Amino acid sequence: MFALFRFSLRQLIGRHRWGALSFWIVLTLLPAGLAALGMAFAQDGAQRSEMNLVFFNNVTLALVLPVLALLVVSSLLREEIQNQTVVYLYLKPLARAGLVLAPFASGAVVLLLLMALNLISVSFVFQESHLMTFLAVGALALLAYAAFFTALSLVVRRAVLWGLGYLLLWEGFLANLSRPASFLSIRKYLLNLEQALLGNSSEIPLGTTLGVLVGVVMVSLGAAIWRLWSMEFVGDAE
Amino acid sequence: MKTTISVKNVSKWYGQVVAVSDLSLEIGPGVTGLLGPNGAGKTTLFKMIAGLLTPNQGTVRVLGHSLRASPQLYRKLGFCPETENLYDFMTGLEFLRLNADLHGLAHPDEAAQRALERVQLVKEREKKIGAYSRGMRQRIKLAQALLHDPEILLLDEPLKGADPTQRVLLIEIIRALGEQGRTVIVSSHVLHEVERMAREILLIHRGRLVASGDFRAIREAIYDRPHRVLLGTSEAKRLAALLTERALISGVTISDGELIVEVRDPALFYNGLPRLVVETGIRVERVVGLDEDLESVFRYLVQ
Repeated sequence: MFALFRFSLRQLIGRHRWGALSFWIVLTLLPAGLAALGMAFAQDGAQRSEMNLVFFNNVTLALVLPVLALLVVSSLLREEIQNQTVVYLYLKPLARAGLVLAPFASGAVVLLLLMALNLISVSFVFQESHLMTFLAVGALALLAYAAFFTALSLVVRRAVLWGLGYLLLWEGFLANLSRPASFLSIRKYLLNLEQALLGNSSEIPLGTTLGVLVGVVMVSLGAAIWRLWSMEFVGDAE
Repeated sequence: MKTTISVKNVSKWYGQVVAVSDLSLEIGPGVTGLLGPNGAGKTTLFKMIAGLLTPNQGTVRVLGHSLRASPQLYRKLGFCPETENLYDFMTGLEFLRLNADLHGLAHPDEAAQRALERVQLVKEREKKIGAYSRGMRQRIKLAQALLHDPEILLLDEPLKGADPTQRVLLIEIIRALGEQGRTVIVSSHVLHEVERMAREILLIHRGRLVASGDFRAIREAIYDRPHRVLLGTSEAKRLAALLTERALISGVTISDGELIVEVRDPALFYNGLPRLVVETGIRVERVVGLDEDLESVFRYLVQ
């Protein structure tokens, strides 16, 4: 299984991927640039502290991390299926779960590195100290979104469009309008987790929050494994 | 005959399109040619055998098991897909090494080297697959199918895109695999190519098994069918009468000064026609076989 993990990692960050990789790095560092711009207008230290949290919630957590997760995982198995190279992986004596988990793990490693780069660069600009909390919330965010989008990429053809639709319409719009809808949003639990870790009062108990986020990861990966196991590799030959 | 692959009453459809219809066959060791025109259902059949597709009806068994339910059996199966898509960013050696690792082979480097030698790609092993010619891509695909020394090989159009020299090499490899007692199914839509590799032939057309058995019997069945030939001449009626008189044809239609004749014995007709032309001085401007393509052969066999 390690061979598949190593191969997936190469598929993601090999030299042939320099275009996509450059875009991910730009997207990762973009918040630091925006943060520096925001700092130019900040009045005092209190405002900076507040800006740091607002920035993390509304830029990093709401947009950068989920979009990165979507772009990274949708370039793994979905591309293999579309160009039919997946047969070289599928027709091997490997556990079917491994065919999903190894690429997922390689995607998670890349995403965690990008997240660390993002949070450290933003934290450097703000010179504030919520870094450990943000790293913990960001890591869980990436795992949850990456698992969710891995399942999505195996269910629908245009996973990036569907994923962006989910992020912008559901999490960005409907979940803000409707309270019941917000409970079906990953972001709701991440914000709840962040508040709990910062020692603030949170709407949902910490145990429930963690349970839901871990559940999203497990259920999504389970669905992805089942989907790959039952998939029909039709291709375009007929 | 020991049966390694068993297909029983299998049907597969995509929406309204029936790709394979109530197909039953049993295949044992040796090379079996799967012959059919494009869209006949060859690739669908391969994919069902390999576990990439599940039949809507019927059962497919490889060594008595469904591959989809028993992935460990992929140790015994090599598949060379029709698709030309490969990992272009890898070298040939890296690609084979990856496949060897995924098969869990104890000595992946040696296995990759052996496979490269077998398909004569040793010199190109460090070259990116993206820079390979079509023939080289076919050979590296075949190499990955052979890498783990499988008992069963499914080769979907392995000669497609290969030049004549490479075809000879690939045909030799495939024949040797059959002689070693492996079960090899090789598909093509070119009869004479399959003849050179396969002992047994399966003919499928529009998802149905049209004929199966020894290739000589099938070839005779194909050559025994009536052929339609168009003859361009300014003396259509006279030529028709002479051809009928000499029993070179079994039927004739005259249209716009052209003859369309039905021929039962092509050898007799094609030998007799030039003699007749020389003897009678009738000018024949065109001789066109109307149904010598594979599609019409299959149509005839279906009837």
